[in-house]
Amino acid sequence: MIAWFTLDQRSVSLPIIILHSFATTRYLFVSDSSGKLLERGIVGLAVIGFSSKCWDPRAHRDVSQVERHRRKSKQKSNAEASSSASSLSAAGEAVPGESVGMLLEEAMAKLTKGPFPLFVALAPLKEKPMLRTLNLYQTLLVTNRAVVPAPTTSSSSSGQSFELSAGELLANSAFYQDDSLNYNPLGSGTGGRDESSDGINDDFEEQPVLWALSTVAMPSSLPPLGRDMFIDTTNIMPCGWVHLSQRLAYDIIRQETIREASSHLNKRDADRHNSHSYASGSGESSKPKPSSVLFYVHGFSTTTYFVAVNSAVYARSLLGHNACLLIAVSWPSAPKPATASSSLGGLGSLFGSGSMLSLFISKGLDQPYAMAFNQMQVC
Amino acid sequence: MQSAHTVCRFTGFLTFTFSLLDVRNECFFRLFILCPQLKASVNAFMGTMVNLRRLFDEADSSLQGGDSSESGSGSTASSVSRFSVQMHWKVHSMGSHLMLGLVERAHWAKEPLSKLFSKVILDAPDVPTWEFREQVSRLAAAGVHVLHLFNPNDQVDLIARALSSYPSPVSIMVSFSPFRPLNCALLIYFKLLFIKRRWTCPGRGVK
Repeated sequence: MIAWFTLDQRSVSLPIIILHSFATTRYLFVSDSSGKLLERGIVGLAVIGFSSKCWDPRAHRDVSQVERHRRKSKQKSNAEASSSASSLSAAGEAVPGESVGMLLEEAMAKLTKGPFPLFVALAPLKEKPMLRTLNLYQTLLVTNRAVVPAPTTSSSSSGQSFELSAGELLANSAFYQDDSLNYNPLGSGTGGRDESSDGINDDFEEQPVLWALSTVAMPSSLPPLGRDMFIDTTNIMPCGWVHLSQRLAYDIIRQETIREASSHLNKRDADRHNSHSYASGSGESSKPKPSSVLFYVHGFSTTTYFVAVNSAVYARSLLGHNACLLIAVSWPSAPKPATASSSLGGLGSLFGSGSMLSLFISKGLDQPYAMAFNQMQVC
Repeated sequence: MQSAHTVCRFTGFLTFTFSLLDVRNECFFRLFILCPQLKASVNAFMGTMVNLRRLFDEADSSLQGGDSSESGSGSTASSVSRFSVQMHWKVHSMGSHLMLGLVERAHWAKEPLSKLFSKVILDAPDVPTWEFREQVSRLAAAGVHVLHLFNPNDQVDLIARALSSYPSPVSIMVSFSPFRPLNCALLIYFKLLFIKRRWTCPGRGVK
């Protein structure tokens, strides 16, 4: 009925609302028995995953339904709640007694007032008959496809007025900061290279690409990397999709890489300290692993949905081992061959509407195509 | 009217002439097969990659500044390469067109390939042999580690090759030092063989 999520390796039992931010700034919204909102941490970029029954705003308006549901869920998950509460208290967090009575509007109002970029997508997860733990994997996606951004309900620039329903989005004013496509990550010439004298980027007029952040929930019961496994993609649920401005995407990438590299630096310092204490410093052991970013380019005719799912599968396997961040590069992957007019410009009009092209291709097609299909039938 | 008739006859003559030629060459590929969507994608992502590389360089420089302040004058040029953010690539099937196109663009723009591509996994690349050889040789010359996963009996690749009328890359013909072709069909074969031996001779598996 209600999905569980793991955040920072802690099992969090139902039914709290989890805001999973991308960088180190994580925010956990819970509520106590009196319905008072408890806040933990700082809000960064956030994606919300929630149980549709609990947090469907239409259902949420009926407080009696929520209360009834809360009592049932409390009876069912009493044991699990106590165990997770112990884990939370062990991590130094205050333990909420109850966690259902939070008002979504109150949470949203607090979030929209914050100075940090916020984007909340209400994406109801499918209800499952069994409680289970899901892991959230977030990947960045850059595409030159014609993706239409989802409509936002924040009408005013301050983002104060909103009315949410499932599938709609909320963003505050900090999210929609000025976004220019020719954003220079080096800033305005302070300590960076001079772009005009460098001339590298002059040849590449940057085309408008769209950035997005996808959040995918996967069962934590899957075996780790290196084991034989069969991944059932029906158990993988994309639960968040955020369109990012280019500036925000670059900020995320910069944050993640710096965080990863600085953690390696700290590890190296710790290794140095240990090697000094044991008076046997070895260069190989203290050498930090360089930070790396993994780019995933998909193949032929892959929809955006499967790009998100595939990138989450790769992120689950490879992030932490080989890379700190996965960026899926998505392109219009059902390409049509160039027509004569597009290839030859004015000359193409002489040849009619691509008839020569089709003839060319059909010439090359006959024998291997038949051979391929023969082999398909044999096998 | 007569001129239109002449044009039609000329077009028919050209069509007939070209149909007699072997069109599986580079020129034909560049003109007709490489679709405009792929070209536009290469153009679009090249600027993004260059910007990301600059972003990573900026992060590196900021980290090295912090590191040198911590360790005093101990930071040398070798630490530059140690903290540099690497860009790994995992490319599948026809996405290899995009990535190899980026390689070509970066090569002609004199971008350092080793900075844009540190390790590359080409997973069943669906590109013509000449393009594969040309771009992989460039990557290998720049010291980029390339892992090529392929299956010679890949039937999807066979059909794609037939549809695009170009030969797919055969890794036997390509051999560079940082380049590692991996025949997945052989892997599966040896794995099956190993399982069979373990089942038939249980004593071997235990040892």
